[in-house]
Amino acid sequence: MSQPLLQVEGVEAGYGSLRALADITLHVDAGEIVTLVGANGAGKTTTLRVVSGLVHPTRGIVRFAGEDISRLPPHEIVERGISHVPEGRKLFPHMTVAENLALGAYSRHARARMREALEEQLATFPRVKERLAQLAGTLSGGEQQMVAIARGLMASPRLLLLDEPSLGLAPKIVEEMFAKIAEIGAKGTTVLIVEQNVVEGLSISSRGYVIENGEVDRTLGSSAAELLSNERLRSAYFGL
Amino acid sequence: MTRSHALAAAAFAGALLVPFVVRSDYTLQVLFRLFLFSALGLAWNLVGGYAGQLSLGHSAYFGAGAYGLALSTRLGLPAWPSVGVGILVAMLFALVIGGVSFRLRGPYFALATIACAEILRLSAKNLTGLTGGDVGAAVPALFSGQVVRSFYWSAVLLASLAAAATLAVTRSRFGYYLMAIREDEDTALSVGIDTAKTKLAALLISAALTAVAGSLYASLFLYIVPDQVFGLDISNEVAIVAMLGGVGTIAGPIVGALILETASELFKNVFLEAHLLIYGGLLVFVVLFLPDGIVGTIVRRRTLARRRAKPPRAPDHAAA
Repeated sequence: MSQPLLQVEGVEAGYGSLRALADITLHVDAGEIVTLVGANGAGKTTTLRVVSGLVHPTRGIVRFAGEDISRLPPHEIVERGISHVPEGRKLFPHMTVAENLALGAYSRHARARMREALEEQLATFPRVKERLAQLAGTLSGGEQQMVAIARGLMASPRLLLLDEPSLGLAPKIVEEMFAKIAEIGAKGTTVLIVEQNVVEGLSISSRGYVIENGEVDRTLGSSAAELLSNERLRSAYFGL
Repeated sequence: MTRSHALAAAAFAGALLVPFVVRSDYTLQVLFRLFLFSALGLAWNLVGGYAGQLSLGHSAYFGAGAYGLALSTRLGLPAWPSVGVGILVAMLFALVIGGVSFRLRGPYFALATIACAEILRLSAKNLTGLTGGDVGAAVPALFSGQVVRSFYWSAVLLASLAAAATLAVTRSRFGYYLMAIREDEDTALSVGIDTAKTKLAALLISAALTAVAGSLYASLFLYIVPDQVFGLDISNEVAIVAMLGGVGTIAGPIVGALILETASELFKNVFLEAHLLIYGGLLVFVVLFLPDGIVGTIVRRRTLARRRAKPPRAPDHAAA
């Protein structure tokens, strides 16, 4: 078997003296959709921030396509093909949707194929196309999330990081959102999702990891189907 | 946009012709200050307005221009190349100050810029061997003959240069990166913008323009002391000019300078030092009631009105 696209090994990280991650080890293979599950404050978001270089690990290593990226600044990580869609959409609210999308194609390789990438995103998200000239802050929550994902994809990433894509959205929109994410995965982009909505997240994923107190729970397997049927998880996270 | 181009060209030509009509040196000096502070406000606006980094220490670059000119002529350099030295020194300061203070955000950044400017002011006061300290330093004349006119024209040119630079920045990819940083720095980072480099580039341009203004100002007085060119007054006035007129707009700093300079001329004999009180009051008023500044508020009202009048435009594909 070839090496995984993303490999996180024994990562410890935090903010100042606060340790958010104690020991995170996980991997994502090319073409997979993987979901990180866990309670609030378990370290899911920090894990994504470490991968995209917004937080540097104090121990451990992050490899992307075999290369050590743990000390690289965020813009160089984007350049290598990782795109991070942060929690809560985080659009540039006073800019138009078109401008938001253009800013997603910052990296050198993305700029070269910006027009194609825009066409692709507008094909995937027809609703976004109708809103191009509108200020991003005036869109509905679901539309904003679509724009945020489209902006992330404008970088033509090999790995897309999605932080809580369903946050604050109506159930119907959530379903639509996950269908889109599955579609993006099927088109060949590898996706790593952090999600509170465990069932929706795992059901479009091939694998998942449960994070607790800054560590990956090693007693559980990582297959999504197994996790979905695990009794302990069902009671702890699914409320079933 | 051709109409506004024509308007700008007419304004520029008109400004250049003023000295042929206005004969009073006093009036020309007031107008010199007006354009000088327009230029300063525009330069500040690149960092404080477009990139949203509230610098309250621009006197560092102003003073660098002033002392750069004064000290390098003492070493035997002709006057105009000494202005160049001032620019280089200011950019060097910008590299160091930016390198340190851009690590901080929001009010912490503003405080760091004040601290850096204060360090420079106190150094200039105490390094008497180099700067002459509080005794001051002589500054060479940049012009001979029609001195006041020449100063006026150079201020007009500098303001136009600053406006042109701003226009170029706002139309460029670089300008969008700056605005993205202002909107949300974390998001700018996560879409892959090298925010450290981008902010520093804006500061370098801003510092260079500010240094030229500092040189002009110093040369008009022919004599400078640290408190005058490195003081907090300069830093504050530059920021207020831009905020009053409207941060993140091109016309804003010019309008701000017009109002502030006129007011300070009118009131300086009446209120003496109390004009600082007026500055403070103005700043509070603007922040509370006109957070977009005068020009910003007008622009926003107009866009809103236009939106209401017309149905939404068909989306256009030409992204940035």
